[in-house]
Amino acid sequence: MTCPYVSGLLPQAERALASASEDVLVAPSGCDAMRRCGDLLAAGFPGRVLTIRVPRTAKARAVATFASELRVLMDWLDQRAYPAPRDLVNRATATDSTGQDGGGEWGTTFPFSPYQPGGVFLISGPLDGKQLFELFKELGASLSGLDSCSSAQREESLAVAWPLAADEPDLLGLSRAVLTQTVCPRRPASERLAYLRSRLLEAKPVAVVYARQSFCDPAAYDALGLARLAAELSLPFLEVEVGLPLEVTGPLRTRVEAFLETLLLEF
Amino acid sequence: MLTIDLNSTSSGASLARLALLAHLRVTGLKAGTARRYLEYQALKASLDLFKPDAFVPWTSYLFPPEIPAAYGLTPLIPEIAAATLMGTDYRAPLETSMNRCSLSRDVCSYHRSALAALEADLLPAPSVCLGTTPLCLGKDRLLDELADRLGIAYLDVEVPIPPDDGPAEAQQVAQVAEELRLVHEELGSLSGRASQLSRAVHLSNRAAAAWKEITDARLSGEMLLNGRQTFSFNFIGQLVRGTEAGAKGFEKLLSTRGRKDLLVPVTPRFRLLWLHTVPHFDHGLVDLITERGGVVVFEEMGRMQMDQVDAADPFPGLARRLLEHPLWGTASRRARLVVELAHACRADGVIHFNQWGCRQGLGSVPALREAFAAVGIPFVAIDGDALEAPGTGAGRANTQLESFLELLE
Repeated sequence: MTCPYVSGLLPQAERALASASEDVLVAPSGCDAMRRCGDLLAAGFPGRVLTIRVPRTAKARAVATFASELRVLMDWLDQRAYPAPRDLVNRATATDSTGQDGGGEWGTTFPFSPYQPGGVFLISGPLDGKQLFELFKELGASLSGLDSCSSAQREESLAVAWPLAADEPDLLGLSRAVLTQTVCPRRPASERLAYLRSRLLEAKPVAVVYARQSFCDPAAYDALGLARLAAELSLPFLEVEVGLPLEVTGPLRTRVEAFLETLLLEF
Repeated sequence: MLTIDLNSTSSGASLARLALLAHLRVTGLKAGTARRYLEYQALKASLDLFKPDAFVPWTSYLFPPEIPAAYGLTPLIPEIAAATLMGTDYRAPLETSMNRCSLSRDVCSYHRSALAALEADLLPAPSVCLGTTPLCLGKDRLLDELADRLGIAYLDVEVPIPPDDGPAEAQQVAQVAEELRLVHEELGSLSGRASQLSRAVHLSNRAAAAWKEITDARLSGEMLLNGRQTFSFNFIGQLVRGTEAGAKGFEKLLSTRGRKDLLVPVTPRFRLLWLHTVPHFDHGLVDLITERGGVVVFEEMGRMQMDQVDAADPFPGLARRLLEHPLWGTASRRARLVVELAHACRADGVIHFNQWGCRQGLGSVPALREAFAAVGIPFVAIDGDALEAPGTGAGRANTQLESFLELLE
């Protein structure tokens, strides 16, 4: 009953912490499953795991609260002689040379370059491979856009918003940047849908596919809102449940195939 | 089966509301117990939400009930509303609506059924949504989705994680108190009503005092109440906290007559502590416990809202109560508190009900298991769905519980 991302992360994190006694782990908890994952790791490895709660909104108080959490994080890392978070941001925001989504540790090299209007706009949780992209390609569909948890695009804006060269990091600014610019499914529905509306209008797809990760509450409600938005924009919408690792099994393939065939898209 | 649209403005709907109330009122008068009284008062207040032009605040379970009560508003708590509907003839149309509902089936069944009930016009649409970060993200997303869908306000209170040990920090209390103050103010603007917050807090304090006295007596072993039924009493009680009826309902528990339908007449062979929510309709698990001579002597969810709040300056007290709620915070904090509770009520064993789709509850089970193992108290976590129809939860859950009870015997 827990999301496959957390189920997979927990044993890997436990192994990593057990094998290297000097390593520490930071668990940003944006949902209940990640919060509990951080709790369990913190209990199992006292002093070596820090859970920081990431608020959903960017209200002034939430920004201040999250800035305090970031201060705790910096102090905690300093005490352990680890690099400051801005170095971590540098690494997290690394994009591939083409500037396209994907790359980095996820290894989801994006097979469509560049995005093309008139195709499918894909929304998904974390993607650990390119099976889904390949499925679209195999079925003759082009991709008009992507919004994914593992999309480098989200952090890219963060790097711009936060001056990495600053000697004394502006934590309030970083907090605001994280909470306003990363418009992921956890965010308030109104902001998230406004963001997706602009993405869809810009990308000009002819259909939307939501590859929703199972047991993920933010994605479940996000998909509901997106179905409404797609209907409003007269875009055919397909929601499919996927696991992690993502496997393009028979039923998933059949559903996507049937959806694309029904559309009679002219790719 | 005949079901009537309670949301309707028709005379039929009015009669249906009256008939429902009349039945409960007669039952309540006959029984003379706190439980029946509270059920009647909660239903009476809730049925007013179905009237045309009613101001309906959809409210998360831990949102301070004194705030809507201050404006004379009854909260519509999705979890309670869903559970109540499932216990009526409306179950069938609700289940049909759930089958049509496009929300993923793997989310919490309380929230999914509340959404489905709204879509089937079985619940009145919200005028505003009120939420707090505790206990879970799911209800937050539900309220947010509804607010966005209907173009209404969602007033939510950001609550930080309290320390694992000791009280919440003064800065955290001040921050949450300020958020509550703002939400209280905004609710006044939206509802167009005048606040009587001090009065609501005073009435809630009366309920809290009675509840604390009962809780202390239960923990000291002086009083043995049926934990399953007591859970329901407190669950429903949230709807009328901060009102005169709520205060009276809780105070009725202080008399022997008032609690006679909650008392356990036998000396249990073993005492159990129940964690998290309960199966509301499928009594198989509780029946099995009773058959084996066991009793649920205490329920984790009952350990809430017992402290007095300063009626002259209520926000810091309400904030502290939210921050220090036993189910909020880290899994380690929860584990520490329930181990203390198990010792306090001298539990021979502990049962955790893994509510379908509840990430925060399920996610703390490994920490709970470890904590109980460390102190040598048997623990079992049973998967289930609090809203399932009678008989449907049998099978694996019963087998799990049977093995656990054999261990205790």
